[in-house]
Amino acid sequence: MSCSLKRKLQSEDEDEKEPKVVAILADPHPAYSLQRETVLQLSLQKLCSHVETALVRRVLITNTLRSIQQELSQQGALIMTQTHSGATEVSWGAGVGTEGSLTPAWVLEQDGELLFSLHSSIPAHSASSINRSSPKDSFSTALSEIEDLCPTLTVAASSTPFSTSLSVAQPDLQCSSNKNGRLSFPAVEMSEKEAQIHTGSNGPCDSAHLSSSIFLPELSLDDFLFSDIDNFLCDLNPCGPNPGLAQGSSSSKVVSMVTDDLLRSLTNQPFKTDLNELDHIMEVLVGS
Amino acid sequence: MEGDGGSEIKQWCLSQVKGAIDDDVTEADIISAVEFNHSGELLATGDRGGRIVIFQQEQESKTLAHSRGEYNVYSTFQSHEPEFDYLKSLEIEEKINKIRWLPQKNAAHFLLSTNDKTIKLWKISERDKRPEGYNLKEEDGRYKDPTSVTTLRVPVFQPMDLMVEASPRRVYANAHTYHINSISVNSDNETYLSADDLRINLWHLDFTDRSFNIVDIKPTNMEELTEVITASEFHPLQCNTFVYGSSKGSVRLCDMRAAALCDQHSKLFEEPEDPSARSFFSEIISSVSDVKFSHSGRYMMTRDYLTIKIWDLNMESQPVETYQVHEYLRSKLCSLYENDCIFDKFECCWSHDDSEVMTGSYNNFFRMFGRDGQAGVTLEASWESSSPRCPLRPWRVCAGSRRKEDEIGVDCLDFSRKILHTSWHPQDGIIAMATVNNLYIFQEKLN
Repeated sequence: MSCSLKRKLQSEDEDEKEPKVVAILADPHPAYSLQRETVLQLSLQKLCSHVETALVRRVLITNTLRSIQQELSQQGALIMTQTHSGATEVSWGAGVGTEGSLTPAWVLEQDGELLFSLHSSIPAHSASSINRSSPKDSFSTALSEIEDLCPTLTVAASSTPFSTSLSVAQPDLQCSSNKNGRLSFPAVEMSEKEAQIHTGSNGPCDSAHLSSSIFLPELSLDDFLFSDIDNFLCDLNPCGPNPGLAQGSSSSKVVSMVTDDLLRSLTNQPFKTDLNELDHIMEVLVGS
Repeated sequence: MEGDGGSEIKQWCLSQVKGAIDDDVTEADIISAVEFNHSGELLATGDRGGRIVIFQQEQESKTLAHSRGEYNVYSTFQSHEPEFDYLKSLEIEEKINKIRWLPQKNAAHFLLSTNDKTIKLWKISERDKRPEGYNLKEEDGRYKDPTSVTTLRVPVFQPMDLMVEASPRRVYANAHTYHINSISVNSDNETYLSADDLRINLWHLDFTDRSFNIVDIKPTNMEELTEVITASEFHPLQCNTFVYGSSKGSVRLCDMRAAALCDQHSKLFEEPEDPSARSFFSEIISSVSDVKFSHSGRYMMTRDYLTIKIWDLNMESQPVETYQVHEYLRSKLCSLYENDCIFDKFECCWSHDDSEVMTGSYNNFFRMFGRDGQAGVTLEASWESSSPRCPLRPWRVCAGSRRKEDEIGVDCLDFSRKILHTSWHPQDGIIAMATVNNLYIFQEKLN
């Protein structure tokens, strides 16, 4: 399912001059978003390059990344923070008080499907960004997920989704390299059963140990400075034709969280993630 | 020329160009440091190959009136060699980051030169006499058979061809974990500071086995690191005062009398950010690339990517003067971020009387600002388009890609040709600057 979605995006955007298409229908500042994405990608490339970079540059690039990430998160994305005790608390950005669910269970059960996130407050200007087309490389994939205004989870590819655990958002967790085929972002981890917990009616997840955060702020600077950068971010592969299947050591999938209630209320349809559906939703929102 | 008719408008002429003229530039020849000594008689340059070349000014020429002497090669020596840090598997570059002269105390000249890890004190001395007439040695140095000596004589000094020797007198090593970006000799002429990304150390010139850490901004958890030290300098008159600039655009003034560890600043010079000018690159372009006290000690100049700011040491809230070096680059910051030019560290310098300041830019342009309200002027360091004793014509940079006489479009600028290192003669109207591998010397035209 997702592979066809991906291909569809790919073909749609092939004609675009700019491979990184910001397909935000209602975004009044596409140039700004485009530049932000460019800066984001450049920053990641610089940090992940194997060339030894001076400390001052790495600090400046990392700070730039952080500020972009903060900006993205301040645009109303769902932010989850991991407290020291490990319990999860949910905070909603942009003053949106809707009691929304986290990833519905059925979403998590989708086999490698790429989901699209919608901004919870959906003001006219802060539409979500549809997954970027045609990630040419792993960085684009990573970035496209980052660009989603809702936080993203990274899920290790395996034969069954979420059967393997991700790595937790511990602030001081070092980036770990996955020898057994899992991609780990230090910021995101969730155990298997925790992933199943969320339903729409549950409140902000006290029980949901799902923790995802926009992973950049959780990145240890040491990841870039001192750790082996090779295994971090650079091992991302674009979603292949069968993202649901195990693809060897470093394939990854990304799952976006959606607000179930919100979608239902908007579309009055059984929630189904489908690009066409999303287009429809966007049209409804934009009023076109 | 630009500028009001108020004060005398200064004109600059190309005096000399040193280095290979062709385009074949080896990495090792790229000049990385330029510094006049305290009298201006000597001009030192350091390059990425770890070498130092010292030029000496001729005695004032008698034939050419109103012309200052030329600079000719005085001494060349290898200051630093590449090293390998086996523990971290990292190569330590031999590139000379900074050169600082010591005030002259006797016939010899002393300078400090540093690469990323090690500072060295070099003594440059002349030898124009040598003793002759040893009793036990032949003239070529072979030892005589003592039994063949029948008479004794006193050796006498005989003149010889001038020989300039450079010898390393001190090696100050193993005190910096991070890369050294600054050294500065104290006005007490006994101590100096060396600054790396996170720490500043105080040395006594005579002792190489110990240094005192006076600033340490390394956080306990390196993940929390968001700011590094980028430049540091001692006050020219107060031996207890020094400043250091940071990557976040602030400058801290510290007083060593206050505490042994000067982590608490005495003054913090920081200009509030203009919210309308905020961009993704605001922090990067605010990073202080150079900080220099005025000769008077009353003011301080900071260079960030786009501007020069003059600060009154008595006022921390904002600079007293701000000069736009190349504001036309503000709309190009994303491209400059992509090609890493945004991280270029430009130096700046004061004129001998603190009335003007100068800094480099791209396309081999350099900018000079008179502090008396004159508009800045853009000049080019180019041996092709300048003739000696002919005043340089100022350039203007416009939008787009036009190019005509005296005007060039932003899109035509060559960002690979940049002037990072500049130095102003301490007593005269002579400036020296380095393009990629050439040293340019300009003289003020005396009317």
